[in-house]
Amino acid sequence: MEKEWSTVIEPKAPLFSIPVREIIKYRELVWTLVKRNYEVQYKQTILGPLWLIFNLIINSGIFSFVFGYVGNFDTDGTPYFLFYMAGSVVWDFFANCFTSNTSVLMDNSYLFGKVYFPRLIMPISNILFNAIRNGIKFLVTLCVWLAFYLNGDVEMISIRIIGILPLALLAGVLGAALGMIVSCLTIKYRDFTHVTGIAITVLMYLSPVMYTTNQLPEAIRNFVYINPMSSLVEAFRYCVIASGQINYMALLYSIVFTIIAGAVAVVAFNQTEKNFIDII
Amino acid sequence: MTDNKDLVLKIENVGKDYMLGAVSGDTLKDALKLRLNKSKMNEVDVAKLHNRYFSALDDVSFVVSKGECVGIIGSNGAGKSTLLKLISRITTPTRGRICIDGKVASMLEVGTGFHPELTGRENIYLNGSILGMKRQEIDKKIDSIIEFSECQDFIDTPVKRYSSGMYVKLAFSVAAHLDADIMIMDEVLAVGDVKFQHKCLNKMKEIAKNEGRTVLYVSHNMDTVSTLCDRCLVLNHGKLAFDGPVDEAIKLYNGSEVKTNTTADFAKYIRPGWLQRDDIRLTWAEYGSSSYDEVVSDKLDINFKYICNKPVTKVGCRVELIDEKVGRPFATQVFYDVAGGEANDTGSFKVSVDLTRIMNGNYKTFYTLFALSPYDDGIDLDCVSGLEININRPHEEGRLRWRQNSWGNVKL
Repeated sequence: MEKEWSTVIEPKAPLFSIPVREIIKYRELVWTLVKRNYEVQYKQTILGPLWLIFNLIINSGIFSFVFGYVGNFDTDGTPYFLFYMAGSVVWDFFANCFTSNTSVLMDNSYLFGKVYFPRLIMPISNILFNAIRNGIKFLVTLCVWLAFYLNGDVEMISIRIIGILPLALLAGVLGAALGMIVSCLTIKYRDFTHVTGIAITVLMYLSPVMYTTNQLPEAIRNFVYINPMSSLVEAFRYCVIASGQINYMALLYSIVFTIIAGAVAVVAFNQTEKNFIDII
Repeated sequence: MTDNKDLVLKIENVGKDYMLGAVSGDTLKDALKLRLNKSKMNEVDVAKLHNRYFSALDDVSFVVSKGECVGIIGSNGAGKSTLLKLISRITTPTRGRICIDGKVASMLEVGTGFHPELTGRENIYLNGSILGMKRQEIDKKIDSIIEFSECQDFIDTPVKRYSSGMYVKLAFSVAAHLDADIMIMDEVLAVGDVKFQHKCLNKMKEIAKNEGRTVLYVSHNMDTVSTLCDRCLVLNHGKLAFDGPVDEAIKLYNGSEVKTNTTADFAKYIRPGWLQRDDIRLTWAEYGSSSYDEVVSDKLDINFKYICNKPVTKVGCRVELIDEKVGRPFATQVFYDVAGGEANDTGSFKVSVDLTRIMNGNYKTFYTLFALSPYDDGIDLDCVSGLEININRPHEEGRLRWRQNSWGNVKL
C-alpha cells in the first residue's frame, strides 16, 4: 500500500498554481517580513515614517510649482497641490510595487538558496508593505483635502471613495505582476535591471499623473490609455476628489491587462523559482 | 525492509544536472529556440546537449525512517550539499522523486535571513519564522534560545555590532530550537569555539535521541558523524557508494579498510571529487616483496592492476611522495606508457621507484594515472592515495647523519 506523503517533490512544476494553503500556513512570515522591511527602512532615523509624508508633500509641492504655476497645466479646477497629491499616491503605490518586485528573486537569493518557504510570500509581503506605506500617504492626502474643503475650494467626498479600494488593488497587483515578470527575466538577462528605472519614468509621463486627459489632443489621448495605469490614475482621482472622469472602456482594458499580467507573472515565477538558484 | 508507516523520507532515483559553462552566454534567441525545439529534438541532439551538463547527483535512492540519524559523507563535489538542497526544496531534481512526510527544517547555513540592522531579539523572530516557526512558538522558546546563545547582554543590540562568534551562536540557538520532524544540517557545527561546539553537539544529540526527530547530517568531521549518527551514507561522484553502519562507511571513505602494509585494493576506493575522468581505474597495488613495509634498498618495486572503462592508450603513472609535515608532494617519479587497452580490458604493470636520493622517513604516496595532452600537459585519469613508504636504511659509518628537519627529505 502506498503511503500518504505530505510533500512530493518532482522535476516538473505545475504551470499555474498558487499554493494558497501553504501561503496561509506561512502568513506569520508575511507579517514578519513586512515588519522587517519597515524596521530596516527606518532604523537609525529620527523622523522615521514621517519621511514618507515629507517626501509626498515635497513631491506634490514641486509638481504644483513646475506643472501648475509655471506650466499652467489644466487640472479641471482642482487645486494643484491636491490634484498632484492624489495622482501621486496611486502612482507611487504602483511604482513601489513594481520596483520592489523587479529584484525580488535576486535580492532574496541568499534566503531562497538556503531555506524553503513558498516563494510567492516575498511579492505578497512587498505588496502589503507598500500598501501600508501608501495607505499612510493616502491618509495625509485626506488631511490635505480636509484643509482645502474647509477653505471651500473642493467638494465633499461622496460614496465614490469606496471605489479606491478595488482601484488600489488593481494598481498594486499590476505593479507586482510586471515587477515579477521583470524579476524572472533578470535572473538570466541582467539587461533588465537597467530598464526598470527608465521604464517607470516613461510610464509615469505617459499616464495622467501630471495632467488630465481632457487637455490632450483627441489623436494622442487614446494612445495614453494604452498604458494600463492611465485609467486607474484617472479613476482614482475621480473617486477621491471628483476631478476628471472615468473612462470605462479603458478601465475594462486595464482590468483585463492586470489579470493577464498576473497570470503570466505567476506562471513565470513558478517556472523560475524552482531552479533559479542554480543559475544565479 | 522497515515498515512502510515509519518512513519519513523516500528518495527514488533522484538525479540533478547542472549546466556547465556560462549560462548567461546564451542569447534570448537561443533560449527561445531551445524551448521551441525541445519537443522535436531527436536522441542525438539530446545527447549532444547532455554533454554540456554535469550530473551532480545520479540515480540516488534510499529511505529514512522516523527517528533515524543519518550522516552523509563524501569528498568535495560528491553531491552532499546538492542532495540536501533537493530535500529542503531549494531546487528541484532533474530526475526522480522525493517523498517527504512531515515538516522539514533545513540549516544549510547558520543565520539564514539575519538582517544586520535588526537587534538580536528581532532577528530571532525573523529567523525563526523564516525557518518555519510560529510566533507563539518563538514567544514560548525565546528565553531558552537567548540563554543557549550566551548573548543575554547583547540581545537588544543590532547584530551588525556582534562579533562573528556571537552571531553564529545566536543563529545556531534559533536553529536548535526548531520544531520539525526532519532536521537537515550541513556542517553547521563548524562554528564557534570548542566549548560551544561541544554544547551544540550535545544539543543535537539530545534532539535526535530523546525527541525522536529524524536528522540528516552532512559533515567532513568523522568524529561528529560517528558520535551523532547511527547510519551513514557515502556519496561518490553523485552516486550512492555505501549505505549502512557508520564505522564501515568511515572506513570506506578513508580507504583504510582496503589497505594493508604492502597491498591496497582500490576497487571500492572513493576517488577525490575533483577527478573528472573515469577512463581507467587502478584496482590493486602491491609491493614487489612483502618485506617492503620497511625499505632498506634504493629500489622499490610496485605491481599495479587496472581496468579500462574506455579505450585508452599510452597511460602513464606518477608516484608522488608526500611528507605529512609538509603536506604536499616533495618528490615525484614519472613512468610513461605503462597501461592502456580497450574498454573493459584489465591489465597489470610494474614500476620500480628509485629511492636513491630520498632520505629515511615515513612517507605517504599518491598514485596518479595520466594521459598526455597535445601540449604535453598531464590529464589525470585516476588518482588514489597509495601505500606508505617507510624508508629505514642503516647508517653508514663516516657519512653525515641526515638532519631531515633542516635539510629536507631529498639528498642531491
